[in-house]
Amino acid sequence: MNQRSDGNSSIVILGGGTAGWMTAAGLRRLLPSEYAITLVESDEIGTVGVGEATLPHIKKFNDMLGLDEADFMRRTGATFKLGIQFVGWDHPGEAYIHPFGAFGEPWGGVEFQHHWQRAKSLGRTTAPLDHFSYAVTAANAGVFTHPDEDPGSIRSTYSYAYHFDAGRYAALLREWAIDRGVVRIEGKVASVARDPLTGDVDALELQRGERVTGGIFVDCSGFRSLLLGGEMQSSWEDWTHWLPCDAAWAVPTARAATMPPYTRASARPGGWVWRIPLQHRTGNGHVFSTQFIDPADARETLLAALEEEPLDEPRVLRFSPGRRTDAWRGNVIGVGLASGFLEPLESTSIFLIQAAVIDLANLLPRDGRPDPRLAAEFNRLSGMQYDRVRDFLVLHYTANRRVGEPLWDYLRTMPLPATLEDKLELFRSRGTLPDYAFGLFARDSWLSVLEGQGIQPTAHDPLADAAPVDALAERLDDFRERIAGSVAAMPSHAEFLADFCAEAAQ
Amino acid sequence: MSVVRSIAVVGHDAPLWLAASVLRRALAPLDVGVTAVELPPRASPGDFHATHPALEALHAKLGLEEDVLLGATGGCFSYGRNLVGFGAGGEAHMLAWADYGVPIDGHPFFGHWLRARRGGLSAALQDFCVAAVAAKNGRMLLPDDELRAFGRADYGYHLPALAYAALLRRVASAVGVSTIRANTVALTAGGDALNVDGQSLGVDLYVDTSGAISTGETTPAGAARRVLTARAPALATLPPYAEVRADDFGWTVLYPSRDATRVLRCTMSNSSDDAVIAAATHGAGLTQADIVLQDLAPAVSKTMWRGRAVSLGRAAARLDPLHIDELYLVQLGLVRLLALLPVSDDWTIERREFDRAMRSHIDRIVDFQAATYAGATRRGAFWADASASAEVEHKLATFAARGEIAPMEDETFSPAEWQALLLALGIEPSSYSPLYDRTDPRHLGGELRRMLGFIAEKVRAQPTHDAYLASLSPERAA
Repeated sequence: MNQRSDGNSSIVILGGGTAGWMTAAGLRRLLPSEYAITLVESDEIGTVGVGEATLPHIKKFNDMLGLDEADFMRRTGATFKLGIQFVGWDHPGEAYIHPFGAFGEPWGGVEFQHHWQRAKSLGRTTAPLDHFSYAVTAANAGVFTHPDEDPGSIRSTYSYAYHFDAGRYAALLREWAIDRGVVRIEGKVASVARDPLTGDVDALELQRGERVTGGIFVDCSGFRSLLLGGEMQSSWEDWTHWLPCDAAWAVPTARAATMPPYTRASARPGGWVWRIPLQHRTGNGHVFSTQFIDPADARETLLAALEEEPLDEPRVLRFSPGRRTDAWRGNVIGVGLASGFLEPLESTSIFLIQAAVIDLANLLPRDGRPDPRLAAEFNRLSGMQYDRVRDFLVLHYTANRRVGEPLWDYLRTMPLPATLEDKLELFRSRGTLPDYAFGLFARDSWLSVLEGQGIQPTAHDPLADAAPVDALAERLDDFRERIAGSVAAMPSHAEFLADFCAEAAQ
Repeated sequence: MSVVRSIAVVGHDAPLWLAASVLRRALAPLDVGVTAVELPPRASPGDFHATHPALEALHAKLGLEEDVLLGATGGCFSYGRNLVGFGAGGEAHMLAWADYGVPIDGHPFFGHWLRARRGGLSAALQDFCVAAVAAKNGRMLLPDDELRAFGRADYGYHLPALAYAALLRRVASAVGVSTIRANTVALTAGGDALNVDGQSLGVDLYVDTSGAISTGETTPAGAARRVLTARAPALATLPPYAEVRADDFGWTVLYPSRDATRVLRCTMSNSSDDAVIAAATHGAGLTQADIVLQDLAPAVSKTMWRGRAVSLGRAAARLDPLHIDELYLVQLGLVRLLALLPVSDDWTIERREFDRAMRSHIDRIVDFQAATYAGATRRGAFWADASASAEVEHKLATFAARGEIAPMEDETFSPAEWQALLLALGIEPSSYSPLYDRTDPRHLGGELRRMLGFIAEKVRAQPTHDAYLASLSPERAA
């Protein structure tokens, strides 16, 4: 029987990149020093690292590590993100922004969208829903400033995230983690030693002969999922039938002339093109389905979409959308791409890593072998997170009116997850939004995308009719004016960036 | 405008009047008429409502002030339930509707407490709950800024059922509910009208609070039981909580009120009348009158909105009376119904969503009850007769392993309430999250002492339950 003197107090992370170094830094920050943390990464193996967009949760992670915001932004070439602009996802040529923030405010216990719907149906407003979102208004105006913490202020009704260079972020976290005792070993895994009785991973045997032992192994090896998928054989739940995109071309271009404070996702016949503005350059990519477009044509689509000069040759990645049925098996936990993949349509990759790291820290074994009861809870939480994101992404695709394009015709008519179908019916018939407490996305996010994708409720909540109509119209006008007035006073995103965190001249 | 222009609420006693009043109040601005179809009252002098804190929100909507409520009913406050003898050790654990302790270093209190216990702390979890300490000392907990910053501390009421029903009947009348008295009601074959003592009553929506017009299949939701209610003499000093005493054959609850102490005994379904009465007398330690014995087969309706008829409260689910009052189920249904008022002639989507939401909430309530039996470290046939859902098994396992409560949607009971319950059952988590070990033990010790000091100081300054009740309605002071 294999006895390890350090028991389960030693954690080995396989793989660098954002997944590996977020895990290393996060665990080092959260865990007491008795837990030794080692990360094995190979300089030979490239990480996926395209320009990355994030969700507001990332600020909590950075704050947990004590990172100074301006310094972090400087070092990662980061810009601010108020939301994502979806171009042509409903009708070609139309666009909407899914913001971080609220639309309007509830009144008399009834949610805003019902009041707005009622006002529209009575001809008392023609303002689109967007005019009642601070974040959308600011994004469209190309402005940014930090939100106000005073809940009475109109500027407290939005939040923000970042675009950044994922490679630089990983490097920053690597430095942070190594400074605090995480051991980095450079090397490539040649074989994996397993305990003959329990099946647990005992050690990683590296090509140059080193043997890295540990109690817990975190698989951040990316799509290869060397430990979780490869060794532990955690089965794969495939979602290609709901999310047919299975490849992406990526290419960096020069820094954008204007600096939009949002990500852009533009629909294309074979998929969609992303555009992520960073301080030092722009990240671009074309996510596409090889079932519907040839990779060579997809490459051309990307190049045709660029607004600046390419800085490198486009490179292609292949992937499968889906997740491992068990993200934790035996003493192996998959974090990041090793545990599942969803295309970056709503910037969820880093969020899923963050959620996994926090849950892992909470559920790590104390003594002896990993506790299957805690692994079961980790898997339940992980599955819930992935499934929630999946449904939300499918919504963007299925609610399209790009008639005549084979990919989009397929998406419009495909059978949907039941959980999504129910939500769609509820909104379509009466404007009622999904109501759940755990996982992404907030109700205002659902409202934004449902509305943006052209789903018009045929009625509103009757309880909205209790409010006097004149007061309603006045209230709506007042809210819009408050937003417009406040946004008009904000500096441009580029100016704010320059003041706050411009990169030092190279 | 609302498609539903007229509603008939069928039932009796407090559930009827509560539902009718709330619906009328919420829908009067839309000119919706509400008629209460009142069946013969069934509440007995031994019946009561141990209400959930959420009820206060409904009272606020009805304009029913607390001092009026308590003055008219002779009811009193309740900060929770004291579970005695549910674990093998026989101790008492106060389950309060409150937070236990405050977060330290950004992490929830419970893990810090587990760690401190291993380090020799003798204080129980409930010692860090202001509401629990106040209640055990017979005190109120009147909110102020410091207490609000410390954490949640809600309360419910113990309300004699007959008096509460009478009060709500008056409220219903005041908000414009019309009333029809009836001996029999039934839905017509098509479900489009009510047959009320032979006369037809046609409205847009029927709400059943009693089970009189609800049909359809049910799913079992717990072991069959025999339930006794009775009245006993009022206690000289009124504890602001209920006491639940477990024994090998069941449990007995004492609900204090100003006019009487109400006793609830729950035992095995094959118990004889004499055995139940004797056990109730022994368990309560009080002589009892107005004894009513009933058989209870807990069950949840598979469909709670069929056609034009919505089932609320006991019409939706007959549950084990432990931990939850029928009025809470009524409230759950009212809130969902008001959020799903039909907007067209096709109600399919509303019905489906109502059923989904209600079943989900009720499943989690049933889980809390099932955990009380399945997780109990007490022995005895009564306790062994427990079926637990996969969700409960998972919650029990996660708590036993790590002291954490697996988060699930549509919970009535907070994680703190779950933790307090499972501790009361005698389940000891085998570990706590390693995150807690980063807190300096001296800092932890200091924080714990500060909390206990704060609680002692706050509780000392509170009025007694008796004094506070007297101050609300001086004319009722004994």
